[in-house]
Amino acid sequence: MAIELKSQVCRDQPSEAFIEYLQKKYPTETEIDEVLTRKLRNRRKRQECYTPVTLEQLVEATKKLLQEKIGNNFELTKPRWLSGGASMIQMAFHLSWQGPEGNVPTETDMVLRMSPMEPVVETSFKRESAIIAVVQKNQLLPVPSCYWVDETGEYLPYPAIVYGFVTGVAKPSTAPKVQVTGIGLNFGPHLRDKLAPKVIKQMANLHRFNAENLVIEGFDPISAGSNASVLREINWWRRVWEEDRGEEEPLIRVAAQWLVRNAPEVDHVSIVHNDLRSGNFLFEEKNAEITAWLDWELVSLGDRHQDLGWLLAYQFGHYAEDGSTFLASGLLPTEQFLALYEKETGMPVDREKLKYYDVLNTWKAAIIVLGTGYRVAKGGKTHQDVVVSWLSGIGYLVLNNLKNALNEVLV
Amino acid sequence: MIPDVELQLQVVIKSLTDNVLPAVDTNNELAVQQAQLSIATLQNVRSQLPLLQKTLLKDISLHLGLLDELAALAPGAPWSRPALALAEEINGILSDPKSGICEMQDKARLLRETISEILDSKELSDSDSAAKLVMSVAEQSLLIGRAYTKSMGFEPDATRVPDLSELVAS
Repeated sequence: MAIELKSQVCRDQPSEAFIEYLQKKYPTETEIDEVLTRKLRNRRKRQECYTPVTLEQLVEATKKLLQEKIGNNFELTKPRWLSGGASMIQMAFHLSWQGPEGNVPTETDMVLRMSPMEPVVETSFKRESAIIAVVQKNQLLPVPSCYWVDETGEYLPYPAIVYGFVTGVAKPSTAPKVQVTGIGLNFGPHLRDKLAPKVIKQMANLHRFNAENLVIEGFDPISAGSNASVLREINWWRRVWEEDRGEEEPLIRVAAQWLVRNAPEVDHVSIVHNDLRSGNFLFEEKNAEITAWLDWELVSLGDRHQDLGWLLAYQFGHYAEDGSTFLASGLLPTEQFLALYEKETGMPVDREKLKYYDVLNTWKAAIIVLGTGYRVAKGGKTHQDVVVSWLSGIGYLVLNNLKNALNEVLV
Repeated sequence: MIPDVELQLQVVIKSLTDNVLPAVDTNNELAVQQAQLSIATLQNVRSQLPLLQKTLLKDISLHLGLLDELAALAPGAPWSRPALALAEEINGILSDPKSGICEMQDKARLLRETISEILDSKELSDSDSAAKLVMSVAEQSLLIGRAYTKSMGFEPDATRVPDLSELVAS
């Protein structure tokens, strides 16, 4: 059966033929293929819109998950909605249980994060929980404890993950008195001086860890000295664009071709968070201690420059009080940041790779907001379609950043 | 026709702002945020509606030009004749006063799909010349997109983006 790729029907009601076409054209990591294929099969099955889940329904479903994982000896209390974030539905609760070993009475505050019917980024909780375990075991940087995963929505209405609740704030409770220009999180001069070295040190710890021989669930093997993993990642997002877009954008095609042609080898295999920036770590205001790094759903194994480029991106920074010094992620001037990062990691920063990953990161961001953002809102698949649709309005600015990044590298 | 679209949008915005939003439980952050964004979305639609047709026409015109130039890079390519036939068909729709906005939107999207397919063709895949043509058109088309979404508040400095009315005037 011929697949009409120019029609939206193939995306709204994806056939097995379409799925097979995508798998063949854009081979990705095994788990990524599984996640994206499940997404399309669910989309075909569920033509209805997402309808809100009540707190009571979520509590009952969470109890079913817990019963499966830890038996009946627990009590779930104080359930409440948590706001924030464009993709996940979040419920906080208190759990009285027997602890991870099953024999010590334990009181734990927890957070359930559940996908809506189709989130704005389709990811693997299996990968997320596996990496959290590695990061914790090796004490690379502070992360919330991950307890349980419902990978396919067997107990809960949709896939979900349960974390320990972590205290801290993502941004200062009081805005700095001096108004600075630009966008991005402003910590203020006092806090940023304390936070910056800690952020860099922890980021360095993460990236310095050699993930080359890591054998963990959900990740295909990756070798230093090869660009195979980069090509697989490009395929991941090319496939997402093909699956979700509402309107083609020739610039995205041109960028994809350039990315494939110029995919660099990975010199050192790192754990790559893929959304490392201010706003994704919690800290205690009184002493600027970072309590946890969050949002690991896009984690991969690859090149540290991908994380570095993202954190340094213009949209996450702002100008300092002098009006002219740009602060990367609201922390430090870019060059100072890079110098400190090189010192902490003991590894050089390759400026050409930074440019490459600037293109890759911006290209991915455009695909997410203009592709999946469009598709899930159009299908009525989330608990906040109006938010997702509104966020797609950043698409042309992101594409403009992509154009500028490409202009820097195209000969 | 009465009520017209402009009136309908106006009254919905006013009703939501004056009566519905103030009644939403302020402890329900999700509801408050979505009510505010719903109003903002309607305001955005209302402000852009008068320019929607001109915006589509401009977008189509830019991409028809790109299609022509890409075809010129590979004369005789197997996709060349169907692509140029599509261009002719779309030109016909543009000059047909009976063409509606939805039809134009569909054709604008079909045009973009066709261009992207051509960019992946044997003749033009990885072509520097093709890439440069795309980048050149992107310069203009993205500015139109940014002007279209300017009021949504994502631009670091909105004064640097021209008004949509200026960009789609010709």
